[in-house]
Amino acid sequence: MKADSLRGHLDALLLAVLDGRKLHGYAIIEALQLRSDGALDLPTGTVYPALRRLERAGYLASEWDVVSGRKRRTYRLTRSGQHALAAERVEWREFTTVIGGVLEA
Amino acid sequence: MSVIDGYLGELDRRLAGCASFKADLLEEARDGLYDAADAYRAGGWSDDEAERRAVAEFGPVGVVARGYQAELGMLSGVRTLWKLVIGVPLMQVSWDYARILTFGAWTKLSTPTPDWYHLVTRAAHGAVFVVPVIGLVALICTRWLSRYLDGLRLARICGVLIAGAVGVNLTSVALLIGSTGVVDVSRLFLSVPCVLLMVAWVLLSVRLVVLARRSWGSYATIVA
Repeated sequence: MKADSLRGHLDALLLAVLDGRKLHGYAIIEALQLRSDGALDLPTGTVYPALRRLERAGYLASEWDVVSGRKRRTYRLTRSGQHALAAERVEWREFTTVIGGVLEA
Repeated sequence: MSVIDGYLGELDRRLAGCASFKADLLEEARDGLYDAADAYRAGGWSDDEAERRAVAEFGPVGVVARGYQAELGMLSGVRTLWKLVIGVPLMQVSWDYARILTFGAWTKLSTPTPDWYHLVTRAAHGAVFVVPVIGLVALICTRWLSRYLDGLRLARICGVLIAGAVGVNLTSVALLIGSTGVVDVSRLFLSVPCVLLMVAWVLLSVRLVVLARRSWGSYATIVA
């Protein structure tokens, strides 16, 4: 999948991956690749600044934790992030219904 | 030097901004790169090849640096905005308080005050309220816009708002001091505390200009 078409959805994808769990940066990237069967192909180095931006936006909270014996920055959804994710899901369903209806007619 | 260390060194060289925040960002990047290299090693690749693959997956340093620089620029922008929001009104209130305690009421002045000077002081005092309001609006926008804009566009907007607020502050300080000097230069030296606070106010205003320039420079680094 093209990186350009992903960029606009990266925030929603990151929020979805963190839904109900706390993960560090690389685990988030692995989860993105796993859920997409490896189709999400973007420079992983662009994910970390995006996580910091989402934290500034109030959607994520982070802290340094020791995970598997190593110190790592872990992220979790805030209440505002959960609301944003729910809104993104509704919007996405509406979008795919409308576009799907036209393309598959 | 390992492939990952070389890559992080190059990323470090391309980033400008708060040293502790930069170190924090780079440490997280290092963790991610080592995690990726570990995954490749577990897949049977040699140490060197695993690190090379981890770095390739992380992305070209020029592309990755833009995102990191945007975050660094935003942090420095937010810090400058807080200095504007708190520092500017604090200087005005401190100076007025020092003037009341050490000199007294304006009615004690022996020289006449022209009408135009009243307009200048009103404008300058108005700026003391306008500047923190712009700063607060910018801080709220920065948080809110982080939800809708990418880091690069956000850093640009933040830079424009800081430049505006700093410009208004510097203009008002220069106008106030300059016009006071024209009307009656002795009014600039009402008392030692007033002089010290006036110097501090000027230094703060100049410092804010430097920080605004840095913030703008940080944006220029992103788009370069």
